[in-house]
Amino acid sequence: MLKSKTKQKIFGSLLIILGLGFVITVYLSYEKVQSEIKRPVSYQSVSISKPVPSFQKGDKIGTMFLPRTKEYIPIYEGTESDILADGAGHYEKSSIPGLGNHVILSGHRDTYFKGLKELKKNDLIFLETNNGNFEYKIKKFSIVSSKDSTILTPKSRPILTLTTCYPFSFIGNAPKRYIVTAELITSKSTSSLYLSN
Amino acid sequence: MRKKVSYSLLLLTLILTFATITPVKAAPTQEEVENLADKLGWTAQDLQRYLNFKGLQVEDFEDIEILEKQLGTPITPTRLDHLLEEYSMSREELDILLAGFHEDVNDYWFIEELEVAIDFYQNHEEAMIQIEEFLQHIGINDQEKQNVYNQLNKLDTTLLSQQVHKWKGQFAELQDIDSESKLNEDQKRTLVNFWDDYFRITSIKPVFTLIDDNGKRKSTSISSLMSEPIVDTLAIELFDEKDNFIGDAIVTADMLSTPFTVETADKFVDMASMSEQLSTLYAAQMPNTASYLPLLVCMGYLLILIGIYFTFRKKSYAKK
Repeated sequence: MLKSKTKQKIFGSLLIILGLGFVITVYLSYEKVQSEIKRPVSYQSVSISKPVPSFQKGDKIGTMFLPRTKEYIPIYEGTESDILADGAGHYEKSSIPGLGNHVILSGHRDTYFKGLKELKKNDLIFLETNNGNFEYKIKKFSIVSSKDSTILTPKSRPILTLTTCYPFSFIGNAPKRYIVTAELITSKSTSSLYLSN
Repeated sequence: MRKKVSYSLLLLTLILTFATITPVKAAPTQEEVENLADKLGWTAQDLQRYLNFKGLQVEDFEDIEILEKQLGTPITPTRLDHLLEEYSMSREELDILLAGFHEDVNDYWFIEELEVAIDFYQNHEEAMIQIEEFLQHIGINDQEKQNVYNQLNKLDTTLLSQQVHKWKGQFAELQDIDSESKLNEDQKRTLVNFWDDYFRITSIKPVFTLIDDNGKRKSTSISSLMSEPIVDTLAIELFDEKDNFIGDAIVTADMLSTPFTVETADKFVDMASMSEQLSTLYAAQMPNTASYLPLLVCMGYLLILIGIYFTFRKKSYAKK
């Protein structure tokens, strides 16, 4: 039979290995996200086809490019946790880019939306989707309560809202949200191309 | 033949010369820009700031008229006062209205944009207030209202939008009915069909119960409600597709006039339409954007520390 000293040693070592495993897993996940979003994705060809009016949960909608951080963030339909693990989530009840005024995207503050805190007023944000390419300019930043009902409202003009948790270094469900509001500057949407053709 | 060639060469040379010496682009002069800014009540810097924000430069415009067309009427205190007067609003009321949509006056460059926003937000607010009042009137509380919206939010927006359009069309002919008149058979059928359609599409299951003065309950249906005069109180309970309770409403016999019946249907369509346009407002909780990674890393460090502690404790025993 093993002595209790040895048992404790084995138990301690197992805990250390398990702990290291956790830390390494997290490190690898961060590395994966970082390498993914630094890789350029191009939606250069805006095909003149009927615009996609709606998406199924989990469908890829397009890519958001942040020139300041040189990040290409994939956008998927829906904001469930499994979707946000793969990229930014398009809030389903908000407008599809090119088909309505208020586009809302959410992302994890420690992975895909980590770069949000680097952004400055007047920075550009590009949305490249199958419905067209859209250029937004950042108008303001705000920190609001997670229950703030004024953020997800419809808008009278084309607005892109990015939401993530705040504080950025908080562990668990943060009580606040970091909001980036950007205004549409130019758009080359398939819906307008489609209508004019 | 040689003459022809030399003429062609001369023509080509002339075209090329003109093409190179003709300026490609004209731009408004500094003086024109300053005059325009002055006319609008802006400084040249304000105009520059606006163009910069839009990613444009003065040189992008061929002449000052085209630049002027691009601009609206800048917001100045006097113009803002005038706009507020038009809408019979105080500045404070405007601030409150915009704040409800996470905006303020500084988010707008031009009076025209602000005017569109006031119209848009006021209409939405009014529609919302009307629905709220109606729901309160029939005894649906805030939680129940939220449940109805949640149920409507489960639907495909495009489908819902088509339905709302169809329903609105059906009601157009019922709108002018006054409190004295009775619905004819066709109109009754329209309403019965509407409710069947509405509950089927929204997956809301209604349970209608008539309660008489002695508290005796009798279950009923929409079609029989439409065909028989109602003298008792009507209790309506709504359930979702999994039989979870959504809400209940109480309608007394004296409330059940013809316009009320039509209004009820109309308000439920408004709710569906609201959920389509304003769902974001009612699904007010923002998505949870915390990932499990920081928690995992903390657990990792904690496990390492506990592991080290166990190893350390063993050593201190050994010393003894």
